[in-house]
Amino acid sequence: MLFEVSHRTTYRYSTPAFESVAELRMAPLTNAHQRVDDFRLTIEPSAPIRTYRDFFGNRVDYFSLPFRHEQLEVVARATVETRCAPNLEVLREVTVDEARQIQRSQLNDYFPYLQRSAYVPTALVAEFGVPQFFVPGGSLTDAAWQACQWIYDNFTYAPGTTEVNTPLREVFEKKVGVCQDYAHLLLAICRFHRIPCRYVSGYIEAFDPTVAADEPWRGAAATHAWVEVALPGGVWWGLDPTNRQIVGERHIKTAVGRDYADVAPMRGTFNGAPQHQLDVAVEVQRLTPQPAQG
Amino acid sequence: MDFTRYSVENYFDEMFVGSAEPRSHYRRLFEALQQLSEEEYQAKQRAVDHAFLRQGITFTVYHDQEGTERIFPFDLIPRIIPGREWNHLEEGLIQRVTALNLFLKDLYHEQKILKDGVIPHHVVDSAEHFRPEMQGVKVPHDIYVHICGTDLIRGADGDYYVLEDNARCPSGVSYMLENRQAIKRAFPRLFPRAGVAPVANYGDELLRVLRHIAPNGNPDPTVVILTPGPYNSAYFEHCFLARQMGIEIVEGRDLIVQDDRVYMRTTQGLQRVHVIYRRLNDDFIDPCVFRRDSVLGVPGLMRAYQAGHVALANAVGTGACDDKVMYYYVPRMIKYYLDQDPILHNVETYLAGEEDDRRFILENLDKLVVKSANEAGGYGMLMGPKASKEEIAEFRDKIVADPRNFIAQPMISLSRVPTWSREHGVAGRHVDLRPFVLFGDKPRIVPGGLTRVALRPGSMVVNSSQGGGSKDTWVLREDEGPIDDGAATQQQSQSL
Repeated sequence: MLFEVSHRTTYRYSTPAFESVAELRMAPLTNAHQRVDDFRLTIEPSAPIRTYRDFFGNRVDYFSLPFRHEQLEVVARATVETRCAPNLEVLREVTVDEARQIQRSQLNDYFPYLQRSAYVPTALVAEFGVPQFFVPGGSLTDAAWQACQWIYDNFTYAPGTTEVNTPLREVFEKKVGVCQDYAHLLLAICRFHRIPCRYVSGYIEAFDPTVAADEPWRGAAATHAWVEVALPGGVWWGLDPTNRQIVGERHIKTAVGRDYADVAPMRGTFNGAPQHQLDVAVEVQRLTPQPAQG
Repeated sequence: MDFTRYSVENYFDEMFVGSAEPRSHYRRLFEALQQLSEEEYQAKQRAVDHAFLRQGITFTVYHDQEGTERIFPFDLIPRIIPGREWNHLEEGLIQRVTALNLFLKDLYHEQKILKDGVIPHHVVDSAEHFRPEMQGVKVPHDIYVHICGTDLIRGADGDYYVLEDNARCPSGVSYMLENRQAIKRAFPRLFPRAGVAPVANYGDELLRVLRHIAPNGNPDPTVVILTPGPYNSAYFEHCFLARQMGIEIVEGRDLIVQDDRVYMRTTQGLQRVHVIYRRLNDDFIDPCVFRRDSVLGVPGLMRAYQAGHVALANAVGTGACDDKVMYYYVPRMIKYYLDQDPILHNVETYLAGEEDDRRFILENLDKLVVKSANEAGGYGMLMGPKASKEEIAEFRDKIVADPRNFIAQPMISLSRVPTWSREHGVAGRHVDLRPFVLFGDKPRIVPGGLTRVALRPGSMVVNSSQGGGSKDTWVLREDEGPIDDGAATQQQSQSL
């Protein structure tokens, strides 16, 4: 499926800001399931943009604005083609303990994705009595899916109730959250049971235009977040607990990491008065593929 | 001073063998001190205390409701290390820091030591201070730890052991230098004849290391010291070292990054900075990469560093080698990289992360010292033999909840040095030793270090934040043997 994504971030400062420095993780990834045809990044006021690839393989664009500016606008536009999720029928047979055993032999690759962190305090999983999905002889994919279901059923999606730094404990207590919290919940549950998994940041298409009266997917107004669980054979299987979906063609991936801290779409500092207004607008538009010429 | 009631008890005493016989390297000082009346000694101590207070030689205590800035108590009776003993320590420390540097280079590049199974992979990856951001980053001359403060202790057998390596931002060197000034003033006639190796060149040596790591071999780099600011416990030291080296002291807000290059704001405009001696932990150094709430750091600094346009001392990510779990593996690193046996030994250590060790620890909590892997300054520690039942129970829960974060060691009876106090006169107090290893074109150690002393009777916690003080550390020049000529000693001690 072909998408045009536009991601606009605007800071309006109450008094002019200076020395803004920021790192952006907004460029969609190119991999087996998606291909980036075009990516354009503009910054207003304009500044030179540099690029590097981080530890997790994400493309990072960064810039600094030393001079005074009253507003900062970052617009990322991408044309991305996605493919549907791979058929995992064979991997459904893999049991939890088999998977653990295989992954233990490749600890180098999986270790970062097994760790707890400030965003993913695994100990809460026991404290709040999350059901035991990952039984040794059971199917790994079934267990992960049940965990995804459980989160969807037991938590209420409520934009505005939490912010980026809300501790997961509060999410567990109040049983409300947004996609970032849902993703961290699933990460905590999987990692508590020693199943490697990673945080994914990206975009989703809210409505499927081919289905009439489709119920919109959550998380389309801004950047979205979901989880990838490591399956044997180097497969990362995407699960979206916020929408109770297996990640497919309508998900566009921009960055992966251990938790939100590794993948924040925009991260940085500025000097100036703390009052500012931040607006984020994300649009994901499905395009009709042009028939290939010739 | 009266030593007649002094008792070494069951400890290794640095000054005495038995209760009356001073060790040969202490004899000159002992006889001089004996000539001194209690009043004269107190007058010297008072003069030194006042001098410290006037000069603002202070440190800051965290988690304290009262006034947080304190002077660092200084005791006049020095700790003396004979030249031969020092040579052994020097050799051992250089071996150790060389291995740590080789380890860090390997860790952030090929990870051979992990692939060869010498150190388990999970130990590294779960280390809180391991920085994936440093993977594949080339640092000047492959030196990561430029300044290492290694804590040594001496057990009842008189052998030295390494207690821990401080390879991030070790502090205390300013006290080593100030203590020396104080002792020279207190004993103006004895000191020059005591054959003590000088430490005053530390600043020069440090600056030489910092200039050595300048990017692209720049022969005339601008070097600065980066401090978190006046609220940091070691702020005094940051200012002190800036003065000693004649370099600028800056806070994060004084620096700015443009085009991956670091500049310092000066009254004449921006000035390029090539080397930063940073006294700021990794976590705070760049809010774009590490803690986003840090206002102490410099946004963009990590990119400039990764691009090789600025050098940092110590390198980012050195915390992966000095946590208390990694400590356990340092002897293996020495064997692996240098094919040598460790010259200085570790204290026997149990890892709560390993099942057998954990069982042993939990069964023997009342006999062991338990430490949290990533805490410094004596915080987060259980002294089993001295702890209450509640404290032990509390630690048991902590260990079970998070085993990777704890290690345990047998209680070591630290050696003692006579120490004076108003209440107890001269009595034995436990000490440790922190020498400072500098690693530039080659490793160097200024002969001396910071001797910390636990001032509370019986206490073995020497940390300044927990009621510790310090002493001057004398390393005797090797060719200066003890003077056995009684007459000469007599004469000198009269003119103390």
